[in-house]
Amino acid sequence: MAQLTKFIQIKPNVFNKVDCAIARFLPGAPVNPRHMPSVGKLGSTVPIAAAVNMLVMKTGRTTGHTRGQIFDVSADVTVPYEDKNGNEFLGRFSNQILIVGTPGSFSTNGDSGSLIVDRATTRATGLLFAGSSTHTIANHIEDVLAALGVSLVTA
Amino acid sequence: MTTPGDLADLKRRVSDALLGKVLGVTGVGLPAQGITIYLEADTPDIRAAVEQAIEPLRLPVHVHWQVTGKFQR
Repeated sequence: MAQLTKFIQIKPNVFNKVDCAIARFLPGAPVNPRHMPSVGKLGSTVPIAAAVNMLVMKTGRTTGHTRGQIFDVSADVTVPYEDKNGNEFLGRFSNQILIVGTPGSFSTNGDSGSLIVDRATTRATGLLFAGSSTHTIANHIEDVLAALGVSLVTA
Repeated sequence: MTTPGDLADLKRRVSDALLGKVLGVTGVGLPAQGITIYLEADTPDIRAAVEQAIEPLRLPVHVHWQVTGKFQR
């Protein structure tokens, strides 16, 4: 359906900012990259900065459309990873967004890569990449776009 | 008075002291006044280990605790 074109390597022993990748859709892939189910089109190609208490939503592969509220916009966190040899290491990330679901869990395994959108403006604010049963972690979307050298699209 | 820049610097020092070094700590953040330390579980052992690790920093702000559970991808 798509071909990986760029990814950001997670480095041990330093603070990372993003865990993200991007792929180019193959011709004929049955997708509409300008429309997110239950969310719709982005309100702007310009992201909105995440803020504490901002109400957000996302559509993910596993949990579908969920709503949440931003709890922290500058959290330093640790997430377990495996290197190419299967050895586990702890990835450290700085200044991440933490989200709690309203109600229930905002995300679970398989939702990584979901775009997190401000409910008031439908502008993108984060990219989901990890979490627990109660908290979801997202990169700031500005950091993701800068790391990948891409921009958002709308209609 | 503690400025936002001061808090960010404090948070980084606390992160350096805890993340990957004290088992059970999942993160350090600034969601409210002071510094919040995120934990897999709120147990006396984990709190004691955190307090021992950050004691040399002599933090001038209040420390909050928040249970997140263990993070995974």
